[in-house]
Formats: sequence, structure tokens, C-alpha cells
Amino acid sequence: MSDLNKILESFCKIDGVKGAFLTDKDGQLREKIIEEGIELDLLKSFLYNSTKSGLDIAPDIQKDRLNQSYLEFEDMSLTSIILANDDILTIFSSSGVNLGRIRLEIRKNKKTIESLLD
Amino acid sequence: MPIIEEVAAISVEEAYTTLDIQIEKLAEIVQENPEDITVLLAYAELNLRRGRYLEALQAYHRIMSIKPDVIDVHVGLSRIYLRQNMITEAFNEIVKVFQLSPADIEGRIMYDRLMDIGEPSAETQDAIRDLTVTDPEFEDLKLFRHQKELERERLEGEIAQFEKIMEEHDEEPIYEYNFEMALNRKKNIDELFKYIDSLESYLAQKALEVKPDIMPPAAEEPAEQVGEAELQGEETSEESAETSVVDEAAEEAVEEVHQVDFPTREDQPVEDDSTVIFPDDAQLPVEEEQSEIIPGEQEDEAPPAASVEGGGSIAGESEMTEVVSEETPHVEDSPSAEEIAVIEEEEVIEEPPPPEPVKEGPSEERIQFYQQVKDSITTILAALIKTKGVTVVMAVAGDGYVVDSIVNEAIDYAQIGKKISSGIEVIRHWRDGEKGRSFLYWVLEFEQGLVVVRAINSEYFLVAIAKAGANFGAMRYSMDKGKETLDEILSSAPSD
Repeated sequence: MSDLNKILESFCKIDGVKGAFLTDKDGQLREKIIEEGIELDLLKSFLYNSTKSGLDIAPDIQKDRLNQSYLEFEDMSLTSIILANDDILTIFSSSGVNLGRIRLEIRKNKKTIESLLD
Repeated sequence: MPIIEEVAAISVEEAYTTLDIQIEKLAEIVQENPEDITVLLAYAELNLRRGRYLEALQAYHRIMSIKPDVIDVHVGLSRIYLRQNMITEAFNEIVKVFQLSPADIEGRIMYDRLMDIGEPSAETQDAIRDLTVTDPEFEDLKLFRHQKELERERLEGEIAQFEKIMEEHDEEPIYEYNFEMALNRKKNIDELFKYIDSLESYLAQKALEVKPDIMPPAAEEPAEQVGEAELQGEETSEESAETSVVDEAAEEAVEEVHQVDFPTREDQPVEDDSTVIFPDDAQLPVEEEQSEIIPGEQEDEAPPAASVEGGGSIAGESEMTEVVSEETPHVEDSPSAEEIAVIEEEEVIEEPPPPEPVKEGPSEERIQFYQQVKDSITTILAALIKTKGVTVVMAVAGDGYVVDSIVNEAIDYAQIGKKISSGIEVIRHWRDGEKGRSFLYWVLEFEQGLVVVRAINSEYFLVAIAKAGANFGAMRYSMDKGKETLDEILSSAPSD
């Protein structure tokens, strides 16, 4: 298992997390650890498009770079962080998950992931 | 302890400013004195009270890199981990507290609190078994009680201020929210006093239990040993020797080293360690301070967002990873490199949904409806924009039409409404419409600010744009509160 996969797997050990995956700026999958039954294609496509929407809003609100996005549905949530090389790390979790914990883990691992992607 | 005294001095001195101002001031001082443990500790403590856990964590770790044996650092870290529901990590910090100070009262309280929440890992249990924990001295407990009494007084003052503010700003959710949070903290402090009482009783009981073993019962003392000289306050050499033995034994008893054997936990204080929420690791309910409020002893307040980049290595991370790995989530086997390559080749990104057709906007009838309900909507938006850091609030229809807005920033809100509407379209295109899967929140965290979109119903959404450092927890609270009424109002809109 690659170091990257190990890190993704460590995210999945947080209670409520169902998957973690990395996509590049064009939305192509780079690495994934995800539970069965999750429609990854749709999810990937959605992430690509929603991130694009977020990036599109940035100039209008004069808030500079989009760093992170969070989407919450009744039954699940998605936390995405844009890495230094514009790849996107996304954590897929059930509703009610401890998002602070996810954020903490993301911050802890962000630099390592970025260095592995270089 | 000099560090604590200095920190306390800072808190008292700035008790009449806001917690934010305190933090800002300390941040400046930290910049100038990056190695000053006192300043760093105060900075960490205030951030912890403010709920800015990542900033607090970073400051604590910086202190540890300079001086690894500061007890308050480990107590603080334990509190952070507890709030993150990282129980094992929190236990590990308490083990360090007891290693440094076997009679630490804060450590004892945290230990009991943690034990009520969950069992430590086997490894931590071993460490706890090896610990030598002594009971605190009565004097230390007295001092601790005094500190908490001061804290309670300050909180009572804060509650009184909130009551006054609420009278002047009726129906503004943020004040109501802050008031509730202050009451909650007060309740926690009251619970803490029960714990202190319990600890005092325990120590008193223990002292009573110890004495019969080490001092011969008076009734058994031969009467002749109590001579006249003793009655007159003089000591014979024999009596002196006996007294010496008793004192020594008592001392041993007081310093008796035992396993962690704390008094009953039934009176344990309950702290509002609710779950931390994105993006500020804030909690719901979280607190947002107002400038008028004395923040001196606030706990569990909500944080503004601030990135913690380049925070240096975080001691204990390896521990955390290790502990995390003990959990057993259901995760499918990771694919091999070849499989990934195949997946990557095969997977084709679905094109974005076609651009939004140019809409003609709402019908005259609908626009008329919006005008009729404008005042009611404005009232709700006015409450929302009072949330600290929020500069723009809008109620937006699914077609991008901005039904109403309050804008305190020079931006093209109509254009933003349309773009956000397109984004929502993408979100709903993906998975909305099915029961139990509805879209609730979309949060975009930018370098310089935050955009929070909250679904009102399937046709409308509420948008708030805020500066960097705004408190998502407070925004969320206000948006959730306004959502129901907005839903009631807008669900009567005529269909186009």
C-alpha cells in the first residue's frame, strides 16, 4: 500500500468517515479508499463541478483563493481541501460526524500529502 | 507558579476588553516574543476559551518544544482532545500531568471526566496503572476553589451584562445564544463546585480513616502517660518521641501514594464539550463574543477561522495515528497501483450540467409577492447580519433572483446570487430530491473569508458572506434559527 493510501486509510478510521479520495484539478481520481456502494463516478463528477462553482464565485466576493469546501446533506457530508498543487482531498462521511476531528486530521496530514504528490 | 500568576494577571488586567481583543493583543506579543512561555501560555489559554482549538494546539506545542514540562500545557491539550472526542489522546495528556504533578487537581478533574466518557486504551490503562497519584493538599484545593469562585463571579457579571444587552436588543438570536452559552458555563462551574465539595469530603474522610491506624486510641493510652508536665504544656522526651512518630506517620499517610482512586464521580462537572464544527473547529452551540462583554473567564467560546499553517511538528501525532489505527472501520481493500491506473483510465468525468438557461426572472406575480413579504424577510436578515464578521446576507431563489439582501460590502450581490444558484443547481443535480438526502449546507472557505449557503427549502436558500475569522458556528446558529420563518414565508410564494 502506498504512503498516500495509508494516509487516506487513516482518515477512514475516524468514526463516521466512509471514504477518502484524491482527485486532480481535472477531476481525475488519483487515490481512493472508499466503502463499497458509494457511487464514486457521480461523486467525483459532482466534486469537480461544485469546486468549479466555488472557484467561480471567488473573484466576485473578493476573497481570494478557495481553500476548502464543506457540503452537508441530511445523510452525509463532504469535506474537501484544495492542496498546493490544486489536487483535491475529499473526506466522505455520514451525517453527525465530528467535522472538527476531520479538519484536524486534514491539517495534520496536508503537508505530507502534498509532499507525496510532488 | 510564576507562569500561572502572570497569565492570571493578564486575564484580570484585560477583563474589561473583549476576548478577541485580548487574543489579538497577545498574538502581537507572541509575534514579538515567540519564545516567551508565559505569553504563549496565555495565548493558548485564551484561544482555548475562545474555542480556537487549532491555534491553542499550536501554541501549546510551541511551549512544549521550549519547555516540555509545563503542566498547564498538558491539561490544555487534554481539554482540546476531549472536545475533539479523542479520548485516548486526552488520557495520555493526563498521564503526563500526573507524571509531572501527582496531586494535580485539574488533572484529577479531567481524569474523572474522561473516565465518564470512555475507557482509555489498553496502553493508556497500563500507563495509568503505573502512575503514582497523590491526593491534593487541602490548601491547594482551597486555592483552586477560590480561583473558581472568582471565575464564577466573572461569569455572573457576564450573564448580567447579557441580560441587559438582550433587553436592548430584543429578538436578536446571537445575544440570546450568547446568553444561553453563558448560562451553560455558569451551570458547569456550579457543577464543578459540587465536585470540589466531593473532593473535600473525600480528603476529610481519608484523613479520618488514616488517623486511627497511626495514632493509638486515646482510651487505650495509659493514664499515667499523661503527666502533669504535659497538662502544663511541657513535653517529656518520651512524649516528644511519640509525637514525632505520629507526625511522621501522618505525613506518610497524607503523602500516601496510591493508584488513581478518586472520589465518586456522581458529582462530576459536565462541561459543554459538544462536537466541534467546521470550519473553525467551533462547537454548536458555540459562542460569539460581543464587544460589550467581559470575556475574561469564558470557556468553550466559538472561534473565528484562522489557518494553522506551518505549525511545526505536533508532538503526539504519532500517538494519535496509533490510537486511531486501533479502531476498526469498514473500509474496502485499497486497490493496487494497476487497479488505480485502470480506474483512472476508465473513469470519465461527467461534464458539468449545461449552463443555466438564461432565465427571464420571476413572474410579476412573484415579484409582487416578494415585495409584500420584504419587511418580514428583512427582519430575519437583519438579525443574521449582526453575527460578527458577516458582511452580506441574502435570501435567494433557485433561479438566482435575490429576493432580499443586506449588503455591507461593495460587491455585485445579484451576480453572486446567480453564481451561487448555479452551484446549488450542481449540488441538487447530484443527489437532491430524495427523502432523507436533502441538501442542507454548502460552505466555501476562502483565503479571505467564508461563504455559507443554507437551504431554506427546495426552492430558496439563505446566503451569508463573511470576513476571514468569522465564526461558522455562530453563523450556523443564526441561519438555522432564521430558516424556519423564512421557509414559512417563502413557501407561500406563487409558482411561476
